[in-house]
Amino acid sequence: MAATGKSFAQRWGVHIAVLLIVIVWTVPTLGILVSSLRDKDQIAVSGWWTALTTSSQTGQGRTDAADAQVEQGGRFVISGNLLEDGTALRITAFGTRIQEPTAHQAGTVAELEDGVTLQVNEDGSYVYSSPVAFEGRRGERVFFEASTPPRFTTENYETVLFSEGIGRSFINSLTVTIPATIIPILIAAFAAYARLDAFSRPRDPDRRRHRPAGRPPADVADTAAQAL
Amino acid sequence: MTGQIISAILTVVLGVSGCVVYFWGANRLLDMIFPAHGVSSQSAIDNLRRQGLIRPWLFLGPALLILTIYLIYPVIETARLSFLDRGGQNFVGTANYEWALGDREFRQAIFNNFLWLAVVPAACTFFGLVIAVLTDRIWWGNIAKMFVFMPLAISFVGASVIWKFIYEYRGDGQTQIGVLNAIVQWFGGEPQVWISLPFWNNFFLMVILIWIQTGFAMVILSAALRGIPDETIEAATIDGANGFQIFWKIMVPQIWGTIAVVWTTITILVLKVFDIVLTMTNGQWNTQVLANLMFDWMFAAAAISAAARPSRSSSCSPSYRS
Repeated sequence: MAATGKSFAQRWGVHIAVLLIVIVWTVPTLGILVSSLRDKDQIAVSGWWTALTTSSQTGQGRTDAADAQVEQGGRFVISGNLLEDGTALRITAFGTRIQEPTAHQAGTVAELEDGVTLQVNEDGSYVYSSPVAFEGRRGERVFFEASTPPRFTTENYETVLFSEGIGRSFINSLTVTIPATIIPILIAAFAAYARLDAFSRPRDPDRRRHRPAGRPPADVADTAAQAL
Repeated sequence: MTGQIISAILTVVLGVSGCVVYFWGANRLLDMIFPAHGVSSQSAIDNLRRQGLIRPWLFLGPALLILTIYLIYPVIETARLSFLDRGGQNFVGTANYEWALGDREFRQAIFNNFLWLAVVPAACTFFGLVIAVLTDRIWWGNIAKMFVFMPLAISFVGASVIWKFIYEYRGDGQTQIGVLNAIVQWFGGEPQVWISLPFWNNFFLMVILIWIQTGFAMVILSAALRGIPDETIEAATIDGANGFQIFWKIMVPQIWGTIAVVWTTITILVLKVFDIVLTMTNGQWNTQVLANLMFDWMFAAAAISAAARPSRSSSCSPSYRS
């Protein structure tokens, strides 16, 4: 392909067109490949093409109730974790009022009214501290914004591969596939030979050798002589 | 598990070897009954003729038997039953045909089948031909063809799962997880429920089959294109033909037979389209096709209730009432 005297479109047009086609044809499969490696909760809330980026979501939790408080150095302290165990969420900001869910940075100590302080860390752990004893059966509501780092897992494959009946399905597939491939080829090959043997008329002299025993006795004798 | 594996292996071995034993044994038996060796030359000639008369039928036998039992008999029996009532006892003339033609869902399915027939084979052959021609002209053509061919190896159900990630719909303003709606939203459009969009949803289902089958058309047509003698194209170039003229007047006429084969093969496949419709919409929102309708009436309807068919067909697809 000589490059001289060719415009950009002539030189790269075919490459670009084929590249576009390949992308269009591959994207759906790529989607399922990426999805198969993603956390199953993330598949349902964000597109697979965002798998590599951190997604953020808002949430809320509640501190433990007053009966969990301990006295430390003259202050009453409740500590715990807002997030579930094993979660991939990372808190970026928090607040105690729904109007301002991201009033404070994660890791900082927020000064609430009457000397009460609340510190929420990235991993969801919090320290809720007050100069006077906490009261009430319910804890303080805490709003937060959390980010989900990209998480890739083979859990989906484990779920499928170790699910009930998968082994039987594989075996059944093979049991059907192998004979269903070999037997039709056998039957069709023999049927094709039978047709060649008996039902086709010779188109040229060379073809006669393929039909040893048709109706005309003349070439039967030839073939018989060969056989003997 | 071990028991299953053993019985599976046994089934495969017995089935295949039984088939081999039949052909080999029948052939051997014929040679033994009418020997062509070790007898007088006159009887050898007679025996060879007899062998020649019998052997084709021995070899054709299994094919004819299977075709008769599984193809010819069902066709005739179905035609016969179509003139009888539900019990298969009394002759009712063309009442069944009249009822079917009067059924809204049946007509919808026929219409959709024709729609599929008109669009899918044409689109597959067209894209296959275009891709085959384009990839022939670049050095990484084979790599590109591999990617286009790949969907052919994916089952229809698997393909439907894959395309759910393309057509998935989330309400306006929500994070879209379907590629198509994400693109629409990115351009500022309003996300659509693609698979229930009236009329157009048929085309969105067809895209899946086109996506699968284009690779097939491409491979066959690509092989045919390579078989075109270079001299014809060189002669056309010397005569001053441009690219389009070479394609339409030199290449296409020479591979016309292959195009017809590809077109026909895909047409046969489209007539049987079932899995994609079942998994994507189950025939709802006016996407019903004949195979899925048959499945509905024959198996799903029996499972739902033994009630009369027409009443079920309306209860199963409420959208028809609108």
